[in-house]
Amino acid sequence: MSRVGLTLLAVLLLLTVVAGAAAQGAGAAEVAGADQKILAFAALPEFKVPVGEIIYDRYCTFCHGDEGGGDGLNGFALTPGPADLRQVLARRSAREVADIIELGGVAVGKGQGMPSFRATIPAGKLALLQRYLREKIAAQK
Amino acid sequence: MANLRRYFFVFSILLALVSLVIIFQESSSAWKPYQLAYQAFLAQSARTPAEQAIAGKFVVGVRQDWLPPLNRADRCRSCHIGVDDPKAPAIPPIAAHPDLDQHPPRQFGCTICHGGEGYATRLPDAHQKIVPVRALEGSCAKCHQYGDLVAEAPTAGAGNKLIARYSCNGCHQFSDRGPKADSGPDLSGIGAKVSARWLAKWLLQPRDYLVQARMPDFLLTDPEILALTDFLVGKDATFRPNAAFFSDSAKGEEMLARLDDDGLDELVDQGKIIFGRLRCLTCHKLHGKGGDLAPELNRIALKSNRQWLGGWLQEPPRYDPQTIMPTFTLTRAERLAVVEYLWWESEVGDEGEVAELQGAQAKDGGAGPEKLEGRKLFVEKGCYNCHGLPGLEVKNDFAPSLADFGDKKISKIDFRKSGIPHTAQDYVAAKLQAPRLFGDNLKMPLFKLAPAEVGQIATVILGQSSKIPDALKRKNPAESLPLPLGEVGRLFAGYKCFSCHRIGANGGSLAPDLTMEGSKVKKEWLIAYLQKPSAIRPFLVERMPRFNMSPAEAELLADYIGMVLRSAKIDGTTPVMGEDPGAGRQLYFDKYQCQNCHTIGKEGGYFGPVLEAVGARLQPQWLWLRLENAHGLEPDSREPVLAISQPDRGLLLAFLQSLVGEKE
Repeated sequence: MSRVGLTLLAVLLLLTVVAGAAAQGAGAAEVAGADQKILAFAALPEFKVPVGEIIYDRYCTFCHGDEGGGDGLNGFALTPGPADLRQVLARRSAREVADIIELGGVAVGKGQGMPSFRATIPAGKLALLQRYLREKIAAQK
Repeated sequence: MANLRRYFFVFSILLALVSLVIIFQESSSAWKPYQLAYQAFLAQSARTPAEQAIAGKFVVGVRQDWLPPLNRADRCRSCHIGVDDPKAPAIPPIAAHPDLDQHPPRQFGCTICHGGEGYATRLPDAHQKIVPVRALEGSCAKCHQYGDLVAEAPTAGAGNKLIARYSCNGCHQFSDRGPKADSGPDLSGIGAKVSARWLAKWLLQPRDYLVQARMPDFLLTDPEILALTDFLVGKDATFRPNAAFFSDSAKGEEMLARLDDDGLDELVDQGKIIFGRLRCLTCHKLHGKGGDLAPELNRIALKSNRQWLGGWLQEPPRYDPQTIMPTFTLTRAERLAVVEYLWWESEVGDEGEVAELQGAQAKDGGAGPEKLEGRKLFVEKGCYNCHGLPGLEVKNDFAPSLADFGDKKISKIDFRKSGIPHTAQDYVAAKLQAPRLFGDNLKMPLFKLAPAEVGQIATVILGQSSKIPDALKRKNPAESLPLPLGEVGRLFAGYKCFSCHRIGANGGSLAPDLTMEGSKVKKEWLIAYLQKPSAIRPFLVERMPRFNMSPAEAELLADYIGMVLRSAKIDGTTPVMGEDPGAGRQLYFDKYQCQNCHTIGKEGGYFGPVLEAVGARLQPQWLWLRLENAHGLEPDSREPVLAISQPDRGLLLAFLQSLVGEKE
């Protein structure tokens, strides 16, 4: 091939590569161009429903309340009333909390009001419940 | 000639250099340093001779998990070497993976849940199209039925609820659920139900009428709205129910005309009582209180007319054969009372933009430069995918199938000039937030979803895949029992039991599962309950409506349930009843403190069912099994599983069976 031909070929190849690189759009975290800003997936707020929340809603809300304040709908039927979980989580160690859920209130010298959940909630889920308690309930002020 | 040799020599050297570079690149594996680090960790932390042997036998090399059912191999463990060692140091990528008991990587591989390129052994190839961690629960649906994992995959469960609510599977196909048959009401009789004014306003913005409207905003222009309104309810439109629907209206109007003001007030009061007795709020909402199965009734006077409502209440399937509303047995006077009550409660509203629309129509004589044809719009915009019309059946094939979205190559997704990052999850998120972003002539309407809802729906869509062979899928254990036929079938169809109850694999989940009801409850109690339902669980908002069933109907249903809906397990149980109900009472109150959650008489908690008449309601065999394991027969029960010894169970059973309530 002639020198001119080779040079032309090289330039053509170079242009192809450059064009290909330019065609990749730059990613943006938020995109304008619609009525409201469109959020990228990574920018979506927390949407995961924690498994611990499902368990808490099923077994615990009724006595301990939606926010764990001990003000659940069934609280009136119990003497002493259900515990304010925010205080329990602040006062007691993680091991004690695990024992209370697994073995009931009798594990820490309290009464029968809090039953044992060991046979009800499988071990793996107990850990998720505890995580939910730490993250959502204890985190409230 | 010499030039040629020179070129040849230069190119040969270049080729050799390039080859060396490639060989060097390919031979330095990305995974080696990780495996060496893990090996060092094993050697260091080995205490027992067994552990030392394991450390000694560790081979540095590619790890491949061959998955015969899927006909592929995953090499992820080459870098993620510590994934199934709970003691691995918590340093990615060699850290351990939590919760692997059900799905060990050597059997399942990793890509079945996480996506990515299983055969690759270096980044970035290995992590192409990897599912974002937040959306991981969507992958469960590849093998599991989506209804079975609500507790284990609650994010996907929330997404599925939204998909059912907004009827995405009305237009799109999914891999794990069929098309939605009854997304929107049948419009064959719409001309008699709504006014043109209401319909135009509704098409403009559904949420202005009904805050929890499921119908999205189709971004229709004014001429389009006018054309559609004209097509559906205009003076030439033919969508009206047949004459039988209004057969009662004339007599009803006569009755109303004979009432004076006091009479009308009394009628409204009566209507309120009947409304409460029927328990309409189990499904409908009124002033924010009530259930979610049916439309809110606050503004019914704005939407419809009394004659239509009277005809509807008489027998709903005459107007809409797909409706889930049961047929209540009411006299004409009772129907009139309910209608008057609802009209009294309803808002009456103002004119608003729609008057403008109507005015515009009158000015132009109903046409712009091009007369838009309503029927054509009805098809083009996709209305027929949710709403039925005579001659236009619901088709569910309007939009691209989502059944394989999880497997789709990124190169096949058209991002146009949207400027969003080129990943599947960003495409889905953007499409859900702004459907018309990717082109002006697209047809997907605008669902005003909250950002969290977008994430939950995206979770489900990203996991859609039909590549998994049927042999691997977990089947729903609920048997499909045959639907009742004949007289019983007519009762089931009339009262729409399946709208709320489940039997086998059919039915809804609002009310208890009746699959084993015949073995669970006593027949005499059931006959009385069907005619006059009482509150079994005090804290529930949703209650069984009172259908005004005749005793003969109640007995027929109870017979069917008692004979057909039985469980071999319950029937085959022999309870060992204790001798002393008094001792049982003591156990109830002192040892197990059941009164914390259950009520007898006036005292006790509200969490569980009232036990005052439990001996008349429940069969002893069922109670015996229940006391043994609260979750044995009903895994979703909220009662904790208590360890009750056999003798205690017998005494408790004796006590509970002695509680028969007051004889009426």
